[in-house]
Amino acid sequence: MKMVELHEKALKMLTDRGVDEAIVILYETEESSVRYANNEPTVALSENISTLTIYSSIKERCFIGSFENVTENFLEKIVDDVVTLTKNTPPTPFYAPLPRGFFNYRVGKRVERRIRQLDEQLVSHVSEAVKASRETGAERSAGIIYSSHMIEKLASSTGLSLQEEFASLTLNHRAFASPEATGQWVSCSTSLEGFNPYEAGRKAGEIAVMSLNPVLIEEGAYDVYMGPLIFANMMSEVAGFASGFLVQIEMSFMTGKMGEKIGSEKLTIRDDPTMPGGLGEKVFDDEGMPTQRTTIIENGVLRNYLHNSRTAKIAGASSTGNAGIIRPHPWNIVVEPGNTKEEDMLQKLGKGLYLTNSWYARLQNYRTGDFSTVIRDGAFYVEDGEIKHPVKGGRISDNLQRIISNIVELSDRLYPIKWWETIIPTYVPTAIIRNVKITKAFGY
Amino acid sequence: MNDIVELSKKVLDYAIATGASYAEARFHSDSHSGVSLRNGGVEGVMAGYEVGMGIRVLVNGGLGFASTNTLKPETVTRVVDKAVKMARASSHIKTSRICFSEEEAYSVDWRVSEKKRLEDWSLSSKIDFLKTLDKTLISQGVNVSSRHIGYSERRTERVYANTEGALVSAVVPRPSFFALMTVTDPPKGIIQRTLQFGGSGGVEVVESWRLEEKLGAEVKTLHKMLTESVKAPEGVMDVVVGSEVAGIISHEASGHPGEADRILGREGAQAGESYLKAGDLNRKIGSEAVNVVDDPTIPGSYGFYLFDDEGVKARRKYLIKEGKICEFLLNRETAAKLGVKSNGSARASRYSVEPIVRMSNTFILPGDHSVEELLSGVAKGVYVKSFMEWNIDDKRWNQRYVGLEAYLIEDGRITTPVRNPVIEITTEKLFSSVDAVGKDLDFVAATCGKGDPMQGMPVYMGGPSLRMRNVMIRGVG
Repeated sequence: MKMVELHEKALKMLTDRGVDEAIVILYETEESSVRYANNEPTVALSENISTLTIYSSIKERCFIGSFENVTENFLEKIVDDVVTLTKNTPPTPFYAPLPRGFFNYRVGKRVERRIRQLDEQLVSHVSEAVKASRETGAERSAGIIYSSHMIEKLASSTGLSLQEEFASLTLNHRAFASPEATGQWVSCSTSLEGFNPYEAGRKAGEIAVMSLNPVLIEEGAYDVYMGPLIFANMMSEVAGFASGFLVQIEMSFMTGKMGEKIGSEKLTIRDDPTMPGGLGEKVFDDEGMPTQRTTIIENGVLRNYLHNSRTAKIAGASSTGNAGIIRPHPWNIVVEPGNTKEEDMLQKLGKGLYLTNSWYARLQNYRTGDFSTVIRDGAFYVEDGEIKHPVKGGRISDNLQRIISNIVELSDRLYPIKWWETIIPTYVPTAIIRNVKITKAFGY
Repeated sequence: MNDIVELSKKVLDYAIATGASYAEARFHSDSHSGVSLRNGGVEGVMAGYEVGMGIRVLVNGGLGFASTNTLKPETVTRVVDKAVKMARASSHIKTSRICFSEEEAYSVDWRVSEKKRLEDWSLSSKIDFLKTLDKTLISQGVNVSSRHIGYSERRTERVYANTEGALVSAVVPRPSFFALMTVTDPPKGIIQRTLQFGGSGGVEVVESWRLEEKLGAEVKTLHKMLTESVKAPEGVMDVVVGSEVAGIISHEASGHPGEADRILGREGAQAGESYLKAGDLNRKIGSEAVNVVDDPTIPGSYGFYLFDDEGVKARRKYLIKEGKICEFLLNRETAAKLGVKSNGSARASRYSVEPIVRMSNTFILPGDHSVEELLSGVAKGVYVKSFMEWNIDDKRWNQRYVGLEAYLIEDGRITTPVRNPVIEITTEKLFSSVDAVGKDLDFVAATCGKGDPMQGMPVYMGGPSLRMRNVMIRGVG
């Protein structure tokens, strides 16, 4: 049986067996990657995987599942199991009917199919990035390069038959000028032309070399200039909390704040899966709804949560095309840039810290937004708009809403960021944030 | 499974014929199911399975790994071709060759038994079980404004074979449970708690968690902390931490930095490296009271296994012994680099990812003090029983734990609840400040994240209560 028919066949079997509603999605993923450390490849990885996901409902009883290695013989058993489980489940009070209507889907999405065949070329890209870091004086590099290609095919009992293709290249590169002097940069693109491993290696190397001989950070409240990686880490965290699901289970600092001013007037965050060539460009969601550009925060005011049909029904709102069946989520986060040229940002900061990266954000309380995150890679003390010396050992120990309320400046250029710490593609400028609480460990 | 063994043998022969000096095939079939409740209402039922094969090869000193879930011979051989091609390409720019430590090739079948089989536990019984727990949460006289609880189970069947003759098959059922709870008391505010339970075995494991009792107590505690706690004291003082906090310390400050792949730089761009270097065995990192082990062989544990995902026999490892670094966590690649044998620490979370160095059940060994004895030696200090927020830098030196259930200690007794005391401390200072260790060893289940692609791995973190002298405590805000 051709895989291309599998999802449609599954849908027909489900409806023949009496389910009220069903969505079947087939994902066909091809991904190659090369990990490297100490300037050399450590492992070359590839995967070729097909996954069938099924949502079904009978009288408001709902099932969600995913299956692999699905053969024709096995499909019968899967469908039988799905129908039995759906019937045996109590009705859910969170049920919402699947969206129906005459939907207009965006057309003309461009996909760079050449990304599929890169394989050995990925190794050459690793060499470029490593070489670039070495040229800056950084002695070691580590990282990973991915080439990803996926086809998603959706069929639903509401009459939808949709297909979408994705391709992207991402490189996450970290350079070491010494064990405590590191720099990190990424290159992420949906086109070969937009992918620049050499530049990522060079930027990471430069930050690493600038970080040599850091001094222990002093605790206190600082004005902070955030580079693209750390600001993307923060903004992807913030935008993720707009999920209607997290809002409704009270695991978001945005719960109960619709229409309120929760951030600086400078801050506008959107989920924009309509961005042509965006890393998270998406035409339809997991319910088959067309995706849309949704403003989450506009000039500091909370404007929209991100909804699927379920969360929209509970909220008395409309789906924003962000399903996940259970949990809606952003596809392609975009922070609107400001007017300040990036090269003027340090001057605007005047005195404070320039931070390039962070990791390991954890919250004490999701409703209040109290959190901390560890400062990582290049971090610098700045006076009179100039970097004075690198610092180490710091942590941002603050509150997410306070952080976004204290944004005073955004640069005029957007960076596409996707890496280990920022899983959802996020486009950010650089930012200046006033009065950020910095702590350090006892015992240094 | 005979088909899988046959397919694995064909794959291995094909890999050698196409230029690999070493090859291994690892089949995983992971079936999973779960159900969750939000404020008492069933959200839906989830189920499915991941089935496929991962193939790892060494070619001219380059390492390649490829996976597929189309288990037809022609597809799998194409996958081998790709693994060999990519390994060969990466070998061209390597100055050193990857090799694996020499290990005994076991032929063994191991499995976790279930006294009460998970598959015999009906969906309706599981839903009733969750509903009972939800009723427990709302019957404590406390406003639990948001409740999200869920039960899930995963059954992993594995067959591992390599070109050195190893053939290891395994079956591990793992039940797990989570709870997210928000307690609200408008004048005082909001307090939250996330909980996770997990183990290996059958329904008897779930019963051993005594969830009804624990969730009921937890909600009352949250309300007490919300309504009665006072600002945490600040300054250098003695601290007693409970088992939950000891567990996260063992995981973050001893387990992760003891992973040899981090020590050798292989995780440099993501999870980071380590404060430890390859020559740091026997380095003093704490007081003699501190002993940390990683032990996958604990029956019923969430991180249980008897053979790792490279076919190496599992055993207990002493990471810290009497305050000194004793042993690293090793797979075959890192063991070869360090000139030793693997200690069976290679794990892969699913068929489609390479096995890397992982923890299993990491914990601080118990001592001989009762909690009362630990407290009795403190004139003024803080008892931190549980935590929510935590993090640590990527060398595993600079860490922070923010208390959730916490109290003042005055004249050797627990007195007033305190709000969110912060322990932010270096690893050496932390371990060096431990002067007495309790005998109340306990574990919590967790899903440890590492690797790129990310691999979530079931682990236990554990320890007894610990007393630390002269530690800086601060409040939040």
